[in-house]
Amino acid sequence: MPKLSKRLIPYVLLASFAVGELYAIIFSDETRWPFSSVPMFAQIKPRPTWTEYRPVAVTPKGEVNLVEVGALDYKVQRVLMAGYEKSINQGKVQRGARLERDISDIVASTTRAAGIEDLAGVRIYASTWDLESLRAAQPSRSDDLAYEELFQ
Amino acid sequence: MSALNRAKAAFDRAMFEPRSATALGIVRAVACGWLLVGLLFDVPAQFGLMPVELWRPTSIFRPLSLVGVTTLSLTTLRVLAGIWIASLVAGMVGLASRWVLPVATVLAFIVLGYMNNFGKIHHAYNLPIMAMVVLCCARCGDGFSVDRWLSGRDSDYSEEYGWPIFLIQFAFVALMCFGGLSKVFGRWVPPDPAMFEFLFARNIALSELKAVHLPRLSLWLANHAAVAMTMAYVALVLELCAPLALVKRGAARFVIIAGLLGMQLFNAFALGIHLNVPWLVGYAAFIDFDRVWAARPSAARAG
Repeated sequence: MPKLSKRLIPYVLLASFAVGELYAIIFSDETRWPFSSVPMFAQIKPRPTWTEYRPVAVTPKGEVNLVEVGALDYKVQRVLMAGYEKSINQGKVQRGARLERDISDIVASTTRAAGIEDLAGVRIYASTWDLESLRAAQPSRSDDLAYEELFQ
Repeated sequence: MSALNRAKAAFDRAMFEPRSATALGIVRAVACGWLLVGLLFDVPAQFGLMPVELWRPTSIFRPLSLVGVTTLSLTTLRVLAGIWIASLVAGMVGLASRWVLPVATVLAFIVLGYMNNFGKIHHAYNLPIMAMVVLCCARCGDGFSVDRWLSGRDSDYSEEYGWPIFLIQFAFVALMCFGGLSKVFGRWVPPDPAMFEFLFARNIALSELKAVHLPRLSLWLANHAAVAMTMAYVALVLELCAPLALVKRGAARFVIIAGLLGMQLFNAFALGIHLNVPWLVGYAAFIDFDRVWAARPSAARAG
């Protein structure tokens, strides 16, 4: 009996890992993190183009990639832009909507925190890559302006 | 003895194999240290900037919404991340491990789990979180630690130090195997060559956003789907066979673990896909640290 009680914690942990992972894969439920099914590129649907929204800081010297200058962590930018894209697709974002103002504030504060003081504005582009051209090592990006706020 | 009983006995022998306190202590140091290394690349506290409109809490954060707390501020997350880093450093060197590891585990859930509350789940930290849960339930400060040095105890062998290492191995192979199963049941097999052309070309596009330089190999693979597909099949077989790595005898463990490590390092360095780099902590659990520790120069001289 004492041996069983000593082994109770490992057995409980083992069972919870197995049940949690099985639940995640059977129900494709990701919200029970860390028991989320890890798809590992299992759900890729090929398309001829790839579109991503990307915010840039506007300075007198030109536009600045926020990840490149260390202003924004790439994961944060990706999640922020994915949420923005989803809101647009669901028709939730109107011009001047609160989400766009919030994104603009985030870009402004992180850019200044990264040491870029002469911030003139914020833009969000819907950038589309033609994947066939990319494979041929040719420039392929086209940018559609989705949002712009220029500071006085 | 029935086959089922024999299988259970074999599983118990593997799970409760006596290991040294030093071996478990090294795994603890690697797990905490690797999370600290991860913070050089990720800034989870920056998710404190996320706007409330995008708040989609996962199950562990839903209770916060019930008590009226939604997003955490940047300052709050920075403070929590600061305490977490301090607890990880203490955990790594094995100082007050019994108290520090539970703190580090709870804060890992908060700081790393918070990233998942905005519509995208980050799988990269699944395994390190599970490893921390195991370690905080185990006597992982008994060896290779400041605690042991202060107490002057000798490192002994016990099943108490064996099962945590086995459970980290189990969590690792389960994640790999379930990743393989999602491909098998997700109509991935047989794979479409266009999928690989798309995947590699998209990877080149994303490298522009990530501001990382991709090696020429990535472009070459985008144009040679057959090679990429062969590599993907090898990866799938390795993922599905991952549970065999729990068997200590024979060459299966070495082949599978070396293959999976090669796959993840290739993804990280050749393709710029750093998604599962934090999972590298899982490989530490497969290293026989008892043998490595015994072979260190000072031990050899003493022997």
